[in-house]
Amino acid sequence: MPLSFVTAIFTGNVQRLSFEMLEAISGGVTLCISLLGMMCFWNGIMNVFKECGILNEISKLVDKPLDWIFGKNNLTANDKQNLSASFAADFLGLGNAALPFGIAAMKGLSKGKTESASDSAIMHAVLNTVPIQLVPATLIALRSRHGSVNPFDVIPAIWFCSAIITVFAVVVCKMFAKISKREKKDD
Amino acid sequence: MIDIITSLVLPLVLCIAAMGFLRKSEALKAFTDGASDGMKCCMELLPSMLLIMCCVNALFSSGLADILCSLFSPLLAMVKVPQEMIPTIILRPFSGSAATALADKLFSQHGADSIASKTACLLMGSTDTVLYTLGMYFGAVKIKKTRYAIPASLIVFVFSVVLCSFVGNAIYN
Repeated sequence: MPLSFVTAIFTGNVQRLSFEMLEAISGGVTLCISLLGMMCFWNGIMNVFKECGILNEISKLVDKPLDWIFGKNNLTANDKQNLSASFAADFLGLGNAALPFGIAAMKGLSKGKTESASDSAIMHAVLNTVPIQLVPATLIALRSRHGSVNPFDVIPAIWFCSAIITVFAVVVCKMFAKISKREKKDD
Repeated sequence: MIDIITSLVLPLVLCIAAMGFLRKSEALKAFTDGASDGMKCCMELLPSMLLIMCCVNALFSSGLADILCSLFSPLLAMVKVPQEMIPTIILRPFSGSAATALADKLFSQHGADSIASKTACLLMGSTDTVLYTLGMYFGAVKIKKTRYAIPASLIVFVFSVVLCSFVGNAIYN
């Protein structure tokens, strides 16, 4: 932020900067309001899924990978349901639905502590920066609009990259977690 | 074919939910309970969202983003990233809409089937707006110290860039 100010002074964009920042404030409120409907709706749907036990069945499918990613015994059944729902929504391309599920999972993973993030909370957040999507619809729409011969031909490569990146993300988080644990011991 | 399947996902999910309504009488109450939870969650999100939006806008309007672009391009050229997609890469962690707009420009200038366009697709498809995502998730639970979350996700992002350009060069060349 301060860096932006300094650059703005050098590039002579100060006026534009202050204007844009005020714009951002109202933009943020608009964004939140436009998210509000989605958040309410998907949270409601999620609760229905939970009540009739469908989430439970989905979470059983991904039980093993979740244990590997987050470590055994770190997750309650409720966390597992939220996590699997969030990943499933991402996978199906329902990005708006993934957010409320993900945040619910985040609340469970941080266990009410607000001081600093727990290892599993960080793992969850970082994994969400590298989503796996079955069909990246926006990209494909963009490609077909610009006259691609076969807009879908990038999909297998995207899957391949996503899979490797996800595994890499898990490994990186685990390494950081180990390092920070060791530092705590030294203290 | 595939776009039919994608457009079927949402109705299908809703149908399953509707079956829940039929199976259990208290499903309606579950829906409204969940929905009001969602409202609370969204309101808790607003403060952190405002801050992120403000910072990102400052980054772009001050011209700092352009400077970052020119700073990083020699580095990125070293890992054989197609020159044309470098702005897309730099903006990807900060702003989804800006990166999409740049990808749009890239496609129209170099064709949707060029190596640069396809590699940009790989990157856009396998990463998300890192800073927004982290800000939203940690903001929602009001965590102050994010510890190693930001370095870890940045490392992952750099790895994604290298991997995507490698795969892009290998497959499409």
